[in-house]
Amino acid sequence: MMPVLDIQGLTVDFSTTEGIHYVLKNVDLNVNKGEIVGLIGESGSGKSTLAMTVLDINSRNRKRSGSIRFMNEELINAGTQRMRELRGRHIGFVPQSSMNALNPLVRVSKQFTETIKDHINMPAQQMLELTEKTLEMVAIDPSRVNSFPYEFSGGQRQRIMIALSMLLSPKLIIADEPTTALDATVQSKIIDLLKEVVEQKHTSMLVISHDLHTISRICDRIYIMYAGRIVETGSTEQIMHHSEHPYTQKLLASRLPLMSEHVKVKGISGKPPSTLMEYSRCEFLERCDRASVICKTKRPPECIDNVRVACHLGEGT
Amino acid sequence: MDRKRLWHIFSRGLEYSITFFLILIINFFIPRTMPGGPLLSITGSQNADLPVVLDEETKYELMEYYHLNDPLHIQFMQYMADAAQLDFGYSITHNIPVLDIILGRLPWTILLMGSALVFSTFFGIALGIESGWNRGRKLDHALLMIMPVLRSIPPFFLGALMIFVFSYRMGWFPLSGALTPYIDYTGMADQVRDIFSHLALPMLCLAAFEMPGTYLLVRNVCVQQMEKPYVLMATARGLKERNIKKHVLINSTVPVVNQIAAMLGFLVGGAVFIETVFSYPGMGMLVYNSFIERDYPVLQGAFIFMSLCVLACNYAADIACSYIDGRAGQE
Repeated sequence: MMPVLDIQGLTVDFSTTEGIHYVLKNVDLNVNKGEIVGLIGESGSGKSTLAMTVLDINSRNRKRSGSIRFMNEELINAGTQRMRELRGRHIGFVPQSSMNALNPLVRVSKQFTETIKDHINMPAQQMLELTEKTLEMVAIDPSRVNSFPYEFSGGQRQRIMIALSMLLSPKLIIADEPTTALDATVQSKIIDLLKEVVEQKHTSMLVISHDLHTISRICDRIYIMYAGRIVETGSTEQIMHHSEHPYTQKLLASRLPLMSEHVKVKGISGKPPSTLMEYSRCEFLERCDRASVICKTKRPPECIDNVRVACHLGEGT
Repeated sequence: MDRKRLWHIFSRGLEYSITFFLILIINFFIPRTMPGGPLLSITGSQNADLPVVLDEETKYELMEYYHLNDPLHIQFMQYMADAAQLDFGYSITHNIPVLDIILGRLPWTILLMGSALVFSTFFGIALGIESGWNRGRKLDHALLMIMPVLRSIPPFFLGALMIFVFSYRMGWFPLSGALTPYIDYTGMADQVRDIFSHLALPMLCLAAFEMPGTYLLVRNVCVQQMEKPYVLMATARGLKERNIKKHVLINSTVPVVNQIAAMLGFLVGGAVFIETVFSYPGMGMLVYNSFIERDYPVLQGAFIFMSLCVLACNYAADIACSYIDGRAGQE
C-alpha cells in the first residue's frame, strides 16, 4: 500500500545566534492510509518540528534535507504556493495550544468559512452548512456557530480545532499534542474523538504526544523519538509489551500507578542532550543503565527499513 | 452579553461625566487662585506707562456687573448654570461671546486635525503592518530608520521649511491662512480647491509628526501578534497571506484605537505650533493669541472644549473597543 505520508532521511537544523541547533536527524517515518500513527518523545525531542516541517510553517532560519512525500508528491521542493494549497485542504493540523489557536476576536463561523473560501469555491449557504455539520460531528452545538472562541471551554475549543482540521476532509491530519492542555477526563474523550474522526472521514492521522500511555489506546503504530532521532518503532502491541530500546522501557516504567499506594514513581533521570552539537555516539548514553563501551564510540544503527530499534544492544535484548 | 455591553457603556459614560464635572470645577478655581484679578486685567498694572485709574465707585460697579462681589459658592453656581447653557462669557479683547469665537475656530481645527489624523493613521497602520510582517527585511530596516527621524524634526521647523520650499520658492501653495482673503469664488469647486490648497501643507506637517507614533505602535503590536498561536494556526490551515494579515490587523486595532483617541486630545494642543507657523485660524492659534492677550474667558472656554473633546474621543474609543473585543470590560 502506498503510504499517505512517507518521510525519508529528514534532517532539519536551525541557525540561531547560539549556533546551529540540530533538531531532526535522519528521520524515517510513514503513515499509511487509514492508520493512526503515534510519535512519542519528551519536550525538545523534535516531534513538533517534524509536524511543522511537513506543513512547512517553520521556514525561518531552517535548513532541511531528505524527502517528505505526501500522496507521492515531494514536498521538500513543492514551493510556497503549492504548500499553502495543501495545508488545510489536504493536510489538516490540530495545534498544541488550542486555547489560543483561534483568533479571539473573530466569530467561529467566520474562521471556518474563510478556511473553506481560501481553498474551494462554495456558495455561502453551503459553507455554513458544512461548518455546522462538521461542528456537530465533534459534539459542538451548531447553533453556537456565531459565538466567539472565548465563549467556549478548553475542551470545547479543542473539539472546534479538531473540527477545523477535518473541515475539508484532508487525507492526513497531524495532531500536535492534542490533549496536553486539557484535564484528564477531557483528554480521553478527545482521544476517542480523534479515532472517530479517522474512521468517519476515512483519513489518516499522525498523533504527536509526550504521553505514551494516553495515545497508545488509539494508535496502530508508534514511533519513539529521542534527541531528534527515531529510536524505536513498531506496532502498538510491540511497543507497549515488547519494547526493546532502553528509552522506551524507561518511558513505560515512568507511568503513574493507578492502584498501588506507596510505589515511588520512576522518572527518567538526567536531561536530554543539547541540540547544539552533533554526536558520534549514542545520544541516550548518559541516561542509559545498560550502556557499554561501544555506545561511547559508535553511533547505534538507524531505524530505517526493517530496523526497529536504534540501539547497539539490538533487538531481543 | 448585550446587556453587559450596555452596562459597560453606561458605566464608562458615568465615569467620564464625573471627570468632566471635576474639570469644570478646576476650570472655575484655577483662574481665581492665580495672582492678580479681573480688575487688574481691565485696568492694567499700576506701574504701566499710562495706568488706568478707576475710582472706588466704578470699581464696585464693575465688580457688581461681573458678579465678583458675590460669595464664591454663588459665583460657582452661576458659573455652572452658565456653562450648562454654553455661555462662557465675553472675550476681553474681542468683546464678542466666547462661544461664537470658539465655534468660528472649531471647524478649521477639526478639518486640519481630522484630515491629518486620517492621513497619518492610514499610512501609519499600512506601513506598520508591512514593516512588522516583513520584520528584519530591508523595508522594515528602512522604515525603522526614517520614522524616528521624521518624529524628531520639530513641527514648527518642518512647517517653516515647507513654507519656504513649497510656498515661497516653488509657489505651489499659499503662504498662510485657511482661505484666500477677499476673493470671489467662481463656484463650489473653486472654494473647495482653495480650502484644500491652504490645508495641504499644515496637514502634511501635522501628519508627518503623528505618523511615526502610529507606525511604531502598529509595528510592535503586529510583531507581538505574529508570535501568537492563532497566526501559526491561520498559516497551518492554508489561509492566503492577505487573510492572515487581516487576522493580525483585527487584533492590532484595540491598542491603535486607544492610541488614536489619546492623540486626538494632543492634536488640539500640538496644533498650536503648526497653526501658528501657518497662521491657520484654528483652536491652537486661538489659545496662543489668548495667552498673549491674557484673554481669560476665551482660554477657559477653549480648555473646556478641549477637555470635552478629549473625553468624548476616549469614550468613543471605549465604545468602539467593546464592539471589537467582546471581552472588554467583562472581567
